[in-house]
Amino acid sequence: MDGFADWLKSTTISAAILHYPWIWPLCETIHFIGLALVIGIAGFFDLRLMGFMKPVPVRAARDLMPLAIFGFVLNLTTGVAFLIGHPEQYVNNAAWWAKVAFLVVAGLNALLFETILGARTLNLGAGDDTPPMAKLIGAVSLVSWLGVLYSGRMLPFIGDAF
Amino acid sequence: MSFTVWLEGSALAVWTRESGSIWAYPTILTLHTVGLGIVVGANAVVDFRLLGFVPRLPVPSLTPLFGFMWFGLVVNVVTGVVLFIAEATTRATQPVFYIKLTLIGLALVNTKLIQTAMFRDPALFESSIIPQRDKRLAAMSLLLWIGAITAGRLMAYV
Amino acid sequence: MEVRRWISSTTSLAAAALLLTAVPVVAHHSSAAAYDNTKKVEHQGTVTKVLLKNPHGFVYLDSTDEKGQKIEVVIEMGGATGMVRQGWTKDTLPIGSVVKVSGIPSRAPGSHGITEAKFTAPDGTPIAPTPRPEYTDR
Repeated sequence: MDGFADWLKSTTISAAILHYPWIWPLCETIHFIGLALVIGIAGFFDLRLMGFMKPVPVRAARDLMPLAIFGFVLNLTTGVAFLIGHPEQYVNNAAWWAKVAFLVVAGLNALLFETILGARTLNLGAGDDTPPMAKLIGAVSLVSWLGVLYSGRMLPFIGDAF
Repeated sequence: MSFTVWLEGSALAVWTRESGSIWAYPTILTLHTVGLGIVVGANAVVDFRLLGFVPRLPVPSLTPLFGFMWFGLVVNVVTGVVLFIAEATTRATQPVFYIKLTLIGLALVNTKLIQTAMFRDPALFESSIIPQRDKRLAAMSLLLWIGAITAGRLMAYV
Repeated sequence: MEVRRWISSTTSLAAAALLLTAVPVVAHHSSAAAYDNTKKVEHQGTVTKVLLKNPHGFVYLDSTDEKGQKIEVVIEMGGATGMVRQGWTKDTLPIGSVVKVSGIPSRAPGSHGITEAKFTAPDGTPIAPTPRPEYTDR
């Protein structure tokens, strides 16, 4: 891992990210905007899957997902920029690995919904309750995205690299 | 002794600032981030509906989102006050902090205008054609909250 | 209130506000933005103040520059959470002691700020706190 971090640190992109003083604050700002989109939209959908806000038709709530994906892409891009700029702050940081783990869970959970379990649930309309599997998927998603947020915010405080 | 010096010397401020515990500054800051995710996120869902992104979403079904927004706001006012007093003398003289508060204030008034418009005549939003004035309010809302997030992040730099 | 007037006045207020933030008065935070990691500086001086706090701690040294002028070196440390875990206390760098510090310099013109600092005694012996046992099993 240290070898990988050293290699990243030696790249021109890494030096460029750290060279211009406005790049890091700009990436951080975008990262916060992206997280608001993901928490808001995915959170909204997850709560409906869990059976809350029943007047919302499940399919209609799902219509917002491309905007959540846009938020996620913003954060993946800025996140990669942080990693390339200061790899040692992350690869040696337990909080970062926790964040990666939560991201993997959130991603696999979403994949499970989209490929196997989603179709029936998406036909549910306003007022319908959701099946237990949908409730579980919604809860896992909500907890894992909040886990991503929590471990991300804790990065400077857990682990000594900062 | 000035008010901000007194605030900074309070037991709560000293604990927040100097405790090595993960439950002090780190947790308060993280709760502040969760709060902003809820406030801006819930607002974003309503704004996207008004901008016409998701016409299948019935407007009356979005009422609970305003409850979430208020909850998020309470979390952020409480955590925000604690974060402020921890460094009161610095924060009180930081222009970008007042810019952030102004943008939040404007965003909240804007949200109230949206809420009033939406629920005075929900039938108006059943068609895919949203009145121009409400589209503008929604766009304004997104811009103001993005501005508030930007100002908040810049508090660490300027 | 008439919506169009609300929109235009809010837009101008918000735009003016955000333009103001574009002027960095003091760039003092994340090392990439505020410090130049391509340079290295060293100072020797007397410790005058140690602030162990979140989000960042600071150590202040009274020192002199190459021309012999008195300067204050401001060393930005990590947050109290991490530093306490690493064993830092108010006495790790006693007030009045003479220490050497090396690190990367602040980008702000005229500033003697440093971060990513390493401390040694004047003879070169490294000064590093001992991690506190009750915090090491995180």
